Amino acid sequence: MSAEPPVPPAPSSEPAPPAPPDVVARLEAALPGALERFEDLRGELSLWIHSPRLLSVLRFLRDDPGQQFDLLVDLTAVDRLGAVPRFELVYQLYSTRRGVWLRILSGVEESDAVSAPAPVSSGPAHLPEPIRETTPGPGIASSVYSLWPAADWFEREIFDMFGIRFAHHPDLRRILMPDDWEGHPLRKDYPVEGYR
Amino acid sequence: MSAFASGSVSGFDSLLEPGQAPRAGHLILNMGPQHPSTHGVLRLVLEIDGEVVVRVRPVIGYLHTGIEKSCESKLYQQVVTLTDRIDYLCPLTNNLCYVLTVEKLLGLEIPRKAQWVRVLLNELTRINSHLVWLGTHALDIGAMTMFLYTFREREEILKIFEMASGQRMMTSYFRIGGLALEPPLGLLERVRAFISGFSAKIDEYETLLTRNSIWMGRTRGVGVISAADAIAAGLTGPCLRAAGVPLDLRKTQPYSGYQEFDFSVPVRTESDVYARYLVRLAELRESVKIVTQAMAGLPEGPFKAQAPGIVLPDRDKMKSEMEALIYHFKIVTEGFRVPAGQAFQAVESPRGIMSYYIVSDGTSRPYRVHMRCPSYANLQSLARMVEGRLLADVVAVIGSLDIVLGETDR
Repeated sequence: MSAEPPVPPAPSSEPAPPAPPDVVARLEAALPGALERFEDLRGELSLWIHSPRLLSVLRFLRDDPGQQFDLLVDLTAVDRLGAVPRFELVYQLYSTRRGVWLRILSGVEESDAVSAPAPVSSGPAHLPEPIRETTPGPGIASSVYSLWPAADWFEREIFDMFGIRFAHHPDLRRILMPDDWEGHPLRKDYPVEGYR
Repeated sequence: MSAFASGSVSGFDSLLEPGQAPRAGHLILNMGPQHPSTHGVLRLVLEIDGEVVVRVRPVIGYLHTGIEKSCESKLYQQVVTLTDRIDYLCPLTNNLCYVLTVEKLLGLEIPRKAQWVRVLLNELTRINSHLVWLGTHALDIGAMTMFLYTFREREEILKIFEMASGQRMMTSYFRIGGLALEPPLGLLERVRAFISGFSAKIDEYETLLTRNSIWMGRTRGVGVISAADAIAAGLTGPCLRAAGVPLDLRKTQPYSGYQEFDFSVPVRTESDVYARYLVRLAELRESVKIVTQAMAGLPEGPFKAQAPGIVLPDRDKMKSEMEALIYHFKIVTEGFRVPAGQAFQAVESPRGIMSYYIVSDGTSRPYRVHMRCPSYANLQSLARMVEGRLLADVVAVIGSLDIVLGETDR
């Protein structure tokens, strides 16, 4: 593996404002208006993306010959309780060909419906029905399963822990908590000891 | 069979829709969570047609302990002890990944001696983890002798860990800013005694397995996944390197001083269970090289950073200097503040890419800690490796993935 990727340039800690990394310029050219802001700090490049454009940005980053972010290393969420949007999805991408990291962040608004307990299904009483959302919206993000099958369990974990749903996810069920668990433990308004 | 036909059997939910029956002639088989070859509490729901696996669905979560949630209510330095408990085979790798992430947020410079000791112990951890993998993997496939030999060597590594940290498994030896204690006198002699004889032990393992016709028959051509599929599914570590992708973060994104060490990254292209075995055995030899270099060139100097207020002061200073006593009191009782922001650090654990993502809100407790555990991501590839293969191959493939369920469920 060659470890001398030309882009993005190594971040500098000089007070002079560094030129925006190459990926930012290319993204602006390919998908104008999708980028909300970026931060190049401690050698880590983070891009905040407007949520309706998230899927197309990620597809561009995976498929563009200059980017080739083929490995979705991590996908998680952060509950910024009190902020709007409340949730933040965090994608850690890595290019195995170019040997560079990139972090993509995107907001998900809170939805009241998400807090409701799982709907009672017509099947066996203890089983909630698989959730099949088709359009992103409040509390619902776009699944990236079609880009990286690796997202399957990451998105299930986020659904389990934060209650964020993913449109077009093939099998969105809880993964770590029991199927009939109430609430989403990693939300900031969920008590550490659980509901008593 | 009537219960199967109605699709109402409790727990078979993950493979069948409510009310759906298995296809004619197919059987839904439950494997685990208490099954010796699932390395813990992994449960598999399999749809089989005779001996052939049609579909497999792993069910996890039996060991979920909410570590990520617990981290949010602990002080930064207290979280170190939680990271031990994620993976009982590589606590030091988890310690390292966590402290590196916090040190990134704090902007701490770590003395070279601490970095080298971290590398040394991390490579011993890799040997430890690979030894347990080798012993249990061979045991699953029926070569029981292997287990006795690998655990003999592992015991010596655990004694080394105990010597350094006071604990065999829950080490917590790496602290934010350096090490918990000065490496004890005699540690290097003990490591040297172990490592000098270890290459011969690897040869012994190879004599038992590498050209063993039963072993080859059970592992060659089994559990194949293409490199493209493996990357798309998030497979990393020795399994990805056995598929021909030379991705090793110690080389591509060196951390903790790995750029100063001379070692190579073993790669195979067959991408089967046998190739993963060969890659891991070659990694054992590379780890021996790194440990040897780390001992030979171990720098002199302090074992922790000069950062009063973050790193605990020396014991003798606490008895003679008032500031040291105050810092000690403050760190222990209220911790230290970490600048707001987020940081991400990935390391090459024995199982693949392990990464920590920490969000700080400027207080002394992390706002969010997320671990990306290689076992969790790697286990997703299981279905692609075993569907269409024989049921007996499932056991071989699980062994070759080298999963740790504590890490999967966190």
